[in-house]
Amino acid sequence: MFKKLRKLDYWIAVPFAILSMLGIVMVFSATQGTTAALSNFIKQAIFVVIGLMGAFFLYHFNLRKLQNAKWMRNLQLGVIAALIIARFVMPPVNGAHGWINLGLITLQPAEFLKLAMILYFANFFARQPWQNHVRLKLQPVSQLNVWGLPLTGLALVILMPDNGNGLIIILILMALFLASGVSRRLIALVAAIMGLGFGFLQTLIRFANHFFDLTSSNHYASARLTSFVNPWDPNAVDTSRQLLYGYYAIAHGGIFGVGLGNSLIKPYLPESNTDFIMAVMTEELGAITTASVLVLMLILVGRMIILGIRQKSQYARLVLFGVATLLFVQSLINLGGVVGILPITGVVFPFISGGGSSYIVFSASIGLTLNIAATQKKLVAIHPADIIARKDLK
Amino acid sequence: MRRIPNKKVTKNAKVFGGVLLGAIVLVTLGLGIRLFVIASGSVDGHNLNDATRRAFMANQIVPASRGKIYDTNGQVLAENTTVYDMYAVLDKKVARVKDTKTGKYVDGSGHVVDKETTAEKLSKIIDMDQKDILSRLEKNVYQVEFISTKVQASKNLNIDQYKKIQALKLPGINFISRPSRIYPNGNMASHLIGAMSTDENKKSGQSQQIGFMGIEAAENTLLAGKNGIKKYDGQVENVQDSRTVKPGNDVYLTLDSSLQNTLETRMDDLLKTTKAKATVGVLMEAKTGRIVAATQRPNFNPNGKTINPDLWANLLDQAPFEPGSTMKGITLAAAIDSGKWRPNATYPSGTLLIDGKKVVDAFGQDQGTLTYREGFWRSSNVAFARTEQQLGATTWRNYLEKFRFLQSTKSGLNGEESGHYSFDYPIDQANTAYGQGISVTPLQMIQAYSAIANDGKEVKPYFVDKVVNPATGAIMQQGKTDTVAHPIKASTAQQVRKYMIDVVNQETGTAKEFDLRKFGYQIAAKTGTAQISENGQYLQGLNNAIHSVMVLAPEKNPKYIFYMAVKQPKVFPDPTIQITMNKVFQPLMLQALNNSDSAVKSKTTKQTVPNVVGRSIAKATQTLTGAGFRTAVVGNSGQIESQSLLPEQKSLTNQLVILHAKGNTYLPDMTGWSLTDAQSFAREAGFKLTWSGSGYVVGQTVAKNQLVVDTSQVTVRLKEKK
Repeated sequence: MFKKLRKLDYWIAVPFAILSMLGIVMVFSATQGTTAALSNFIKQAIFVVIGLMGAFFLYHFNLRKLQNAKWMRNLQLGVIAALIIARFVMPPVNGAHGWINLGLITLQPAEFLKLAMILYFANFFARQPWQNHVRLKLQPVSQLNVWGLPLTGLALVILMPDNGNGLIIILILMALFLASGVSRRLIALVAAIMGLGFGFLQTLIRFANHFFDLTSSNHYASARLTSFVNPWDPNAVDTSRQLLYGYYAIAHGGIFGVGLGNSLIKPYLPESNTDFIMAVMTEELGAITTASVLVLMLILVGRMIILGIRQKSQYARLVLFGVATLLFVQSLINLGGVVGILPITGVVFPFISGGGSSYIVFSASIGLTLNIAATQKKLVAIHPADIIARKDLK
Repeated sequence: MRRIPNKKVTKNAKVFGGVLLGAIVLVTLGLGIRLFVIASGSVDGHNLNDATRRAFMANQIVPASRGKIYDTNGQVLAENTTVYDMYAVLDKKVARVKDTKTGKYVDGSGHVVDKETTAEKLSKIIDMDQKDILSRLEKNVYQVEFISTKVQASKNLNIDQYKKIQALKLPGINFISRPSRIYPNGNMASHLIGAMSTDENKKSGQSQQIGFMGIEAAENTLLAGKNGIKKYDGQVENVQDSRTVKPGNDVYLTLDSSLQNTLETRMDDLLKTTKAKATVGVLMEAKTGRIVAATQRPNFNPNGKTINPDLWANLLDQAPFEPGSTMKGITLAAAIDSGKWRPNATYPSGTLLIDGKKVVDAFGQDQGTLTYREGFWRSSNVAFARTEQQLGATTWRNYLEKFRFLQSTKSGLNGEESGHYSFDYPIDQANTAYGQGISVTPLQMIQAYSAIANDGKEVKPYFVDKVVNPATGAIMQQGKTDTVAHPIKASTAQQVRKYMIDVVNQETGTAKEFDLRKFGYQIAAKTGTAQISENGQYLQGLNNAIHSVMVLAPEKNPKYIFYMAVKQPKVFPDPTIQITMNKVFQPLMLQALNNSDSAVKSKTTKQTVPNVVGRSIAKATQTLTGAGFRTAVVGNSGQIESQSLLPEQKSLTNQLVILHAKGNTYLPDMTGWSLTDAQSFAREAGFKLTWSGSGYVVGQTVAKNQLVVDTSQVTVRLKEKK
């Protein structure tokens, strides 16, 4: 059973391990001084253990069994049922109906939906490469059959409201769609639009603000957009506080940080152990540490994409691209919110932020990609040197 | 069932993988750059480190309360209070207001709704009329203050105004409070006590008050104390890293409020009648160097107003001027001390030529031959130019240095000037002998004359009696008499004083208007009328001169040295302005001499103060009166809880002992009380006291046995004792 561990891809496994350990330490430090610190620490350690078990399980799971459309539909159905319970049965937490409280632990179904989506569409697009002739063949009824469930899930997430995870799911779908064999022209077009949209995000929001007067709206999302555009506006002190305090924390930490446990700002920073853990980490351990985390994340995600490009199996490729997109977009939206280049949407940073559901899902995704990587090694990964050696043997 | 994808699909998918990887690398790079920009401490032109300090360290600083300033009798000259700046929010979008107590938002109007009513109500409390307030309220801006170049009606509101406006519950009217300094006596001794200015604390980024003039500046470190720091570790106070706050120390000045008050009121009168450009007056205890009264005009009211930079200079020590003939006393001392004084020799008065330049006598050209002694009392420039020539420039310069001219007195004030002189040519040297071509400060003058008053011992003037830690009572700094030089022999000093009597007693003496013999005091004096040099030229006419007088009183064993100077008076109520100057000098000096005489007399009648705590009011009053003390009671029922003079100590009789009991306070008859008595009683009983005139109480606006409460205001009329 442990034999397969020899084929472990260290480019993925080592960054994952480092980030997870850092996460346990930071979750403790971020709430240090409050009564919740120790319980948060223990909880996170338990989540890491559960997550590793999940990863271990998916590492050994037969990938063929995941390529069953019926199973995937059932998985979607299960998550949607959980989303419905969270949305319509459970009381709101911080203004959103995103959690199912089971007493001992709290589940966040939206996190599970992300992985379910990757598996569902990887399977779908691998079978139905998105080429003109394929699309034309599809009938309206089968269209509904394919899209009905995932769109319901997405709608429920946005309805919670959980714009951050909604956005992540949309971006994952886009990535899987673009990887499904669409023309290179379309890929280039979408890449250009995304690039421009990202570059001119502030301008766009200002423009929208001009026409719709977002400031006057009491909706929390519009307040976040306003404080994103001008966090220094003294009239928006309360909505901008989280962002500004995040800035203060990063500036206070500087390049090398003030030392673990020495954060001045964490007691005043909302969501210091989840959404804003990167601000606390930068304050305590310095921008250099946060940059190292980015490098580790880049190695991890980059490795998945490179493995994806090398794959023969379109399904495996789509899963790798999907997981890579999930981890990267999640990191970008979290850290982008903290450093003020994106609006704050309340999503966690993979592996480091505290939280059970998210950690387990990220960990399971890693297990899945390690599984693919190991399988690939078994099937195709022959080092050029080996080939030469074999030739020599002949 | 596994389908092998066609080649095109695989190729396109791989291309997407490459694009995705490229995008990820680029965006990660962007995130990293942004992170380091923020870590460097500046975003969009905002200094994050300053902002952090403002937002977080502010919570951690425990501000030290500034010490008070008292006069020598414990009368408060400067203390702390809170002032409020008001502003009105006009923006209609401000619909919710934050409750300062709970920190929660309360629905309700956060902006001014009824502008007419708001203007009308505010105009009754702040210093701006309804129309002006309304015009500001009708501006189309987020918020307004009620200030203009002339009035700052919404700034520095006191606690009464603040409470009144709060009680009106006007929507949209908000306040910012801040600690401030209050000077109960307004412009009294303003330059000496000083003022505060706002400064930014470099560590916390908070604005703080620091002393910037007078004693507030000179003793700032001791007054300010040390802020404490509370360090938070998470949400728990970390005691180890905390620094406890050290409150500021109280400073007791050598000033005597009742003398100071006399000087101030008289100086006001003088300024009114003469319209002089500037005046300065100072009274020093001759033996000790304690400054008991000092003032200048123009002065300022330091209460909450910014001070015009033209008024920053303390004329006592920061604006040296050519003193004129008051300098002749010093020349005379030098001549006697070096054996060059021939009082009965004669000289031709009027004019003296030195290197083709003229020395001219102010009293005219037609007085013929005079003796040098006469030349002194008539203030002859020629006589002293000749005396200087006989002394020799080097000897004269040595004496100037021995008397400690041309150097700071180091009296304890900041920024003391040392003055300067021209001494290159014989005419320059001769000029300095009668006080031209040399600039001095009033402090240097009285310091030099203290050698004449004290039989050769020159004492340094000082202002700070003691600095006391209010918590422990420990004395942090003790002012004391500092003998800085012995420029002349005792016999010289005595002789100079004799010649200075001539100036007062002779019919042609220039200081005869200051004579106090009819009050029983022989004084020694010297006057001066100095020309003012502007752009290398001396201004002409008495309107353009500095008129001064130096008095040692009494002549035998002087107790006080008085010096005053009046610069460029526009109006001359009397030909030499000395009758007008005497109206300042005479009441002040008589009050000082009388006080010290009665103190000397009553020294023989020291009594032990009886302990009356715990007794009934009637019994306590009876006991104290029997022992020779006067009494006044705060409260009207129960037993005595405390007494202002501590029991079982020897104390001068006839002093006022204030007793504390329970219940309401009824005003006693204050007739005959000193201002200090009245002020102490007002402070203890908690009512507001104002006064007019100077001397002792002769009338009170609230009759005796009337109830007084916190809000009561009592004015007493003061008059000099005959």
